[in-house]
Amino acid sequence: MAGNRHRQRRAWATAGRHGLLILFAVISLYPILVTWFTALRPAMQSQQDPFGLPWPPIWENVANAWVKGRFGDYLMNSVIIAIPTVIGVVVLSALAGYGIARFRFPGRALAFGAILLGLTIPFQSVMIPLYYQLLQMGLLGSYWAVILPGIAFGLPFGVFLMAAFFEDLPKELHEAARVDGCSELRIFWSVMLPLAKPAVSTLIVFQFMRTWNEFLMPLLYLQDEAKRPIPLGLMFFQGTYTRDIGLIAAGVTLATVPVIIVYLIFQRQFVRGLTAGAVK
Amino acid sequence: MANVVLEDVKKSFGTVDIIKGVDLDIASREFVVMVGPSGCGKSTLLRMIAGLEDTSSGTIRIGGEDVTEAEPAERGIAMVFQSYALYPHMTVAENMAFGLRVTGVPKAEIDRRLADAAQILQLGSYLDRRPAQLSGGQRQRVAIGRAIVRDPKVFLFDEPLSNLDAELRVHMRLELARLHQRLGATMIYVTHDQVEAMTLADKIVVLRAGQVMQVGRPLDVFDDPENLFVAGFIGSPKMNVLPAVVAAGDGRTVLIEGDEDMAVALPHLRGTLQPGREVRVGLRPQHLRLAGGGLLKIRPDVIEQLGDVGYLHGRTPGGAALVAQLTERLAAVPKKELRLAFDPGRAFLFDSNEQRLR
Repeated sequence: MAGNRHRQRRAWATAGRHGLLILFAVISLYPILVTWFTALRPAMQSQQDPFGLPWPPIWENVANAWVKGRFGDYLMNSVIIAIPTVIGVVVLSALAGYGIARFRFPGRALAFGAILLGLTIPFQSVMIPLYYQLLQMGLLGSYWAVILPGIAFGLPFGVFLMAAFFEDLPKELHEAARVDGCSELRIFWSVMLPLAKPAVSTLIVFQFMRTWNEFLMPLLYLQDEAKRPIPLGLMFFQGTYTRDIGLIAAGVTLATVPVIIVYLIFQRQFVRGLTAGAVK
Repeated sequence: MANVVLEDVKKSFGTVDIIKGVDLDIASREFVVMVGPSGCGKSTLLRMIAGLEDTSSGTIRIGGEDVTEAEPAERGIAMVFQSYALYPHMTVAENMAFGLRVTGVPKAEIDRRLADAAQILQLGSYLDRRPAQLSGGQRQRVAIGRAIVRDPKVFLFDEPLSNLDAELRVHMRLELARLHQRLGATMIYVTHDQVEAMTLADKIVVLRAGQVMQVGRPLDVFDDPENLFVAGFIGSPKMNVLPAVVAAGDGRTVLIEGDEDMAVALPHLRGTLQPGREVRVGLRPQHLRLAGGGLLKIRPDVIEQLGDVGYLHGRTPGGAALVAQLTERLAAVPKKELRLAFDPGRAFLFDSNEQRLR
């Protein structure tokens, strides 16, 4: 009897937990799904029945957004900005994080503190001086005007993440590699960096998302229409096609797809990176 | 293979002296075990020999060459770490070959050495596995294999068996002894486990607080300890130490303190002692036996039966803790006082500075 009651209680608890998780999943996914569904239905149909399923799916909105809305160009611009930014942040963060975690040198704490201070500086507080700086350097209006500040603003979190991860790796691995005859660079490249895959993946996903969705920086520093990335393009696109919900939804869908692809590629490592150090 | 010589080697962290001037001569092909309690500096000393810790002063020579300032890879050593320190992202074969690849050894030579080491350590069927897919004992064998393929002048082991369970530890201990016989290599081994020290070593180095307390063959250290620390550290259960004073008379008789002083004549003493001098008598538990007419009284409180032997724990009437290793089987703690006898020739005498009196 007691065993039955215990089993029943456990079943209810499991059902409750699952119910709660399903609720949160629905809350998170609902806006995304509605956008996707709207993108794949004629505008008329969406206005009459906003929550209907896109069956059969209509690809016209997506094609129109790509061609009329110039989303192909925006996407390419975003890629041109995002890839060097992500590479720059990952490479510099990994090297700096490794140095801070592994070596004891005078001023180490100060350097780390100064880098972390960057986490507290909002872009808005430096956007105007940075504008003049870029103007002076002759970079304003070029992709570099967004890439270089993007790297600078990505570094504090990147260095923090990588340093924390490298700090957790056993120091005996470093010593074993020294006994094996590795130089510091070889230890970093052949031993430490492969082990830091989860942290690198996490950083790639975070930085890619951040760069992909960056709005203010390109708005200020990239005034040439031909260089607009996705978020800017989306804003101008919305201004032009305010009435066509299907077309706007298609634009938003096109904007989100690369982020989802990047997340899916790095998903497994990303989760390991987030939970690294949680348990020994 | 090569000899290792340490000359007045010191290591300080800031103002704290960790290694306080160690001189050591390790012959080629010798198996030397450095043993001591936690914090005595044995691992630091090993890491200094490996080149993983800087030496504050003194000289380290390997094969006659001064390597004090040399990088670890230039010393001709290979090290086996307590935590194995295998590269988790590499297979067993890659782990073992990594050091050779780094130093540019030709592939054919790498393959040959890998095959030899795999055969010695019976790792042939695990070469494609990653460390996470191996048991503790297999990982330890890979770590040893990684050392063997380097064909070093000196093997360094830093508590390599500490992470293994008791049964596997005994097994690996035997494997290491066989490996030493087979390779005939110079090996320096650090442990806090005196059984490992006694069974593996050609020579034991007992360390305490960064200083060498005694160097010698295992049985010499056991039978003839230089001081109370070595006497207490080597031997299990620990040596009994009883306070005593030198009796009036020939200077070779001591009175062990108790409710009635027990006079013990120590004719084997080379010199004579000042009557009234405070000393300590060391008696190994293995040298005590139950005897009705024995000199030592014990009030037993615990018996540990291990099967072939039992440990009788208790106190003397003077209050000193006492343990005797007995071959008799005692089912329960006797309610009464017992008497223990010993051969006075096997009693050790120490002065108030813990130094041996001979």
